[in-house]
Amino acid sequence: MEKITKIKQLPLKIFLLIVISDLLDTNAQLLIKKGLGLTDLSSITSFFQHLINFANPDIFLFWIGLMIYLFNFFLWMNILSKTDLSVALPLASFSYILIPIAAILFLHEFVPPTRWLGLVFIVLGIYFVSQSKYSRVSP
Amino acid sequence: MNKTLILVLVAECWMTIGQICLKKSANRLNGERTDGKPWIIRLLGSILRYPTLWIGGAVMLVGLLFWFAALASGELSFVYLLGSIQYIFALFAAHFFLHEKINTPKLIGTLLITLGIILTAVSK
Repeated sequence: MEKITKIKQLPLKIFLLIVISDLLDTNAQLLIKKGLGLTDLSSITSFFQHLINFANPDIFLFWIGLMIYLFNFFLWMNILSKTDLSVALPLASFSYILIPIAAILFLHEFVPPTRWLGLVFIVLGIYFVSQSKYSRVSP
Repeated sequence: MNKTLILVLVAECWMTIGQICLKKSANRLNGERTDGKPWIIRLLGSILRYPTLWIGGAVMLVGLLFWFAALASGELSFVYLLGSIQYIFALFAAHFFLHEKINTPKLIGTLLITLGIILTAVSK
């Protein structure tokens, strides 16, 4: 078994990286959704044609969003290599709160009370999952 | 069952399989010495040595396409919250494929997330 070094105090740098990752995720999802709009999904080919239809200016938002998403994926991997999942996960669930707020502000979505309640349970659930002590199986 | 819900379920199935592949590679990588190389160089080096790494990446990209389809079919706040079903899939997948233990906090957390997803799913 290899040694597991536990970081008790979360360094400010890691904390800021996780906050940046949350903000990037919110931005990426928002741009992707804004770029896609409500697309007709009747066939796969028409869906792909929609994604590369650059005559539609909104589709650029989709591609910018996708690039932010992919960048954020590697950032998240980097964060996970530096800190425990139990520390990173509750902080990452911050985006579950940011996304509905962003959806209200920028997409004019209506978030019904039951959905807010669902959000509370999801964030609470993520906190519980992350509090479980994990055992690493040696490879 | 509506279309958005099905698309999210399919997307998160692919995402979970991808995550399992990536985690399998990461577990092997942990045993290696790092030699102080930057993480991006180590990542590129390990992509060549561990097929599960790029298979995992490719599987996640397929999941991402279904995720886009899900986003295109419904509201962002609805789709994103439903996406947390990945935590539930991951719990069982990690148990069966990576032999990770399911303990009480994980079970409580998963039940709370399930409740949250059900509330989200009925919030129309």
